[in-house]
Amino acid sequence: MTMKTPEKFESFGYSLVLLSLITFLLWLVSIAPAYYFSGILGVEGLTLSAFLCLIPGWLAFWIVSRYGDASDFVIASFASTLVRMFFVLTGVLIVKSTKRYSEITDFLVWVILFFLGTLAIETWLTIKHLQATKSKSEDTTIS
Amino acid sequence: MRPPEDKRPPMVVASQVLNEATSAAISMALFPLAGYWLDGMWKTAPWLTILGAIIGFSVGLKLLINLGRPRKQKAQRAAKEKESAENNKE
Repeated sequence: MTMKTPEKFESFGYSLVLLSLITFLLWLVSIAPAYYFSGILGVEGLTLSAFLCLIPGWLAFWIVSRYGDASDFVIASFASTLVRMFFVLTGVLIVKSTKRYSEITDFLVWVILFFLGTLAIETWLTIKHLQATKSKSEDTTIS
Repeated sequence: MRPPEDKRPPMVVASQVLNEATSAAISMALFPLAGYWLDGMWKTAPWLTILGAIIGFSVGLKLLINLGRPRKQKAQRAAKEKESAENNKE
């Protein structure tokens, strides 16, 4: 017996809001350690890291909903991973060239944390989205 | 997944997809890194990194869209043909 994925996952907006909400919660949880290690500069680096990982997540959902379908899951995940890596790489290079954050706990640790966290959430949501799309198309074929 | 009407050998399809995917990944990484390197040389930070990022992202996204689009279109065409064949049978 296979469990049916709820239809709400089919909506692009639902995935987008859920990803934003979880990233916000992760940001909230990380404020205290960021402030403890690097003060206000750490919180600033944390916020920048959160946005640096959230924006490519939005873009990745758009790519998946626009171009991905259930048979192209590999390409959809590849595209979203590539977009995420591009944003983080560019962000880190720009921040490095400004020399604003000297300590590793000011910025780099939070980028790694958010990169892995949002990647996990995004992959889960992408799988759910594609499963929901697939089950809908199967329902349409049957009826 | 290979569209059903695609008659090329699987290795040919795989190498083509791999080629396109690698091109997209390299262009997305190479341009910002080149911009960063030039920024270091000419003391123009961070402008050339940003310029490199914009160029790299445009090229990479174009390649990614090309990678996904024909496969989806082919699959849709095959599904349409199957549907019309079934209708003709009836």
